[in-house]
Amino acid sequence: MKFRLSFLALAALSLSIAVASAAQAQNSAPPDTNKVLQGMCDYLNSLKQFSYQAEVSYDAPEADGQSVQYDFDMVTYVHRPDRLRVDAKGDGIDKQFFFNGRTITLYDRKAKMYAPMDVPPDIEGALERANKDFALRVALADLASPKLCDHLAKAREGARVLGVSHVRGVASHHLVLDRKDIRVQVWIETGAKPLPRKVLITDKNLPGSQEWIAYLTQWNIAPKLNDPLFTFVPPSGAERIQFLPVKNSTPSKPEGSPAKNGDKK
Amino acid sequence: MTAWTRKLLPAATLLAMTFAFTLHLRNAEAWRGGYGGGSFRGGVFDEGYRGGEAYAGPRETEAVEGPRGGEAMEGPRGGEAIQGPGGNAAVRGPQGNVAIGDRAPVLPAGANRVVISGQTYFVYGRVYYMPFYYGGEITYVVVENPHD
Repeated sequence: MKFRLSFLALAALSLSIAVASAAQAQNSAPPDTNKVLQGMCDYLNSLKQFSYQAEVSYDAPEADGQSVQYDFDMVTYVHRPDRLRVDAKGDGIDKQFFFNGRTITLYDRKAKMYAPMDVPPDIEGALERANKDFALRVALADLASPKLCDHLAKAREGARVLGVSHVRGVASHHLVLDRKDIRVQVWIETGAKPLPRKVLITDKNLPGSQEWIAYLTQWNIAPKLNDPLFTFVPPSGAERIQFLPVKNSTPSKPEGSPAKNGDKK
Repeated sequence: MTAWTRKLLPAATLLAMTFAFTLHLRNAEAWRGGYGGGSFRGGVFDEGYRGGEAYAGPRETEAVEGPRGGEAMEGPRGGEAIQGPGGNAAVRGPQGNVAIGDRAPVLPAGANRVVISGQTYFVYGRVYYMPFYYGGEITYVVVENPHD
């Protein structure tokens, strides 16, 4: 009887060790890169509204081949499907980006100049028009696009998960996405809320591997965002200018300006 | 070392240095940091906004005021003779030759703001600049004299 009990205890112990080892092996297996990425995209897309802050640092190459680093902070508000606002303030930057479902307005608070552009009535359409027609890109605004994963997949030559890291105390999958020209590293929170916690972009073509780094903090997945937040109201003294279109960088004479003498047109 | 080698070596060295510096400037322009830097959209850090155009960003290596105002501010390309995007005739500017359509990330120091028929211009000497957004940055484009 004694022998039988000991045998059973030993068997149970062996079984538990085997189960624990299997579980550990399963946990240590790297997750599928595309699944982690898609999980982040799906989760962000599932959020009707969200906001976050970002602390950005980026290298700026100088003539002697060395770099200096500059910083700015961003606050982003997203209200799907047709509202987006990005404020950025820091070294050389004090800008506000508004999209209210009809118009994108970019306002430089330092220069007190703003410009509107008519855009399609959804975030992806608006960002795409701003990029294609006016070369306007806004840092991390693509996180608000329902096509985020498509943009991340463009021209991708390789992708892998390095493992779980900790970004400011938040356990995050560390992903490396390689393109010919750049390397994008993204840290995505583990667990039920796969939010991006850090983004690092490295230019492969420049000497010194110039970097653009953002830590994403203060995520709010249920903020109360009102319409006025997304509509630009020109402050007193602000001046309206135009976006220079990509296809025609030489501006024509502005409307209302005096006609040139002898102008044949 | 032969006499020919001695003659050619300085020229070859100068040529190589010029090429390397030009390459560096092109690369510096290709890098887009700052506000537009963290975009995943097509051509995140592509060849400038439109592929190799002479666009100097706010922190490029040309004479541009730094974000913290610590660098010397100089006129667009320091009076260097350049050609506009459309090969327009050059206009004699106060710091050299600038052409209609040239873009400058900063104005020459001392440029004055004037409003003509409701449109803001900046004038320095006889050169008129009009502000635009080019991408996410304000740029100043040399335009025809609105009085002409």
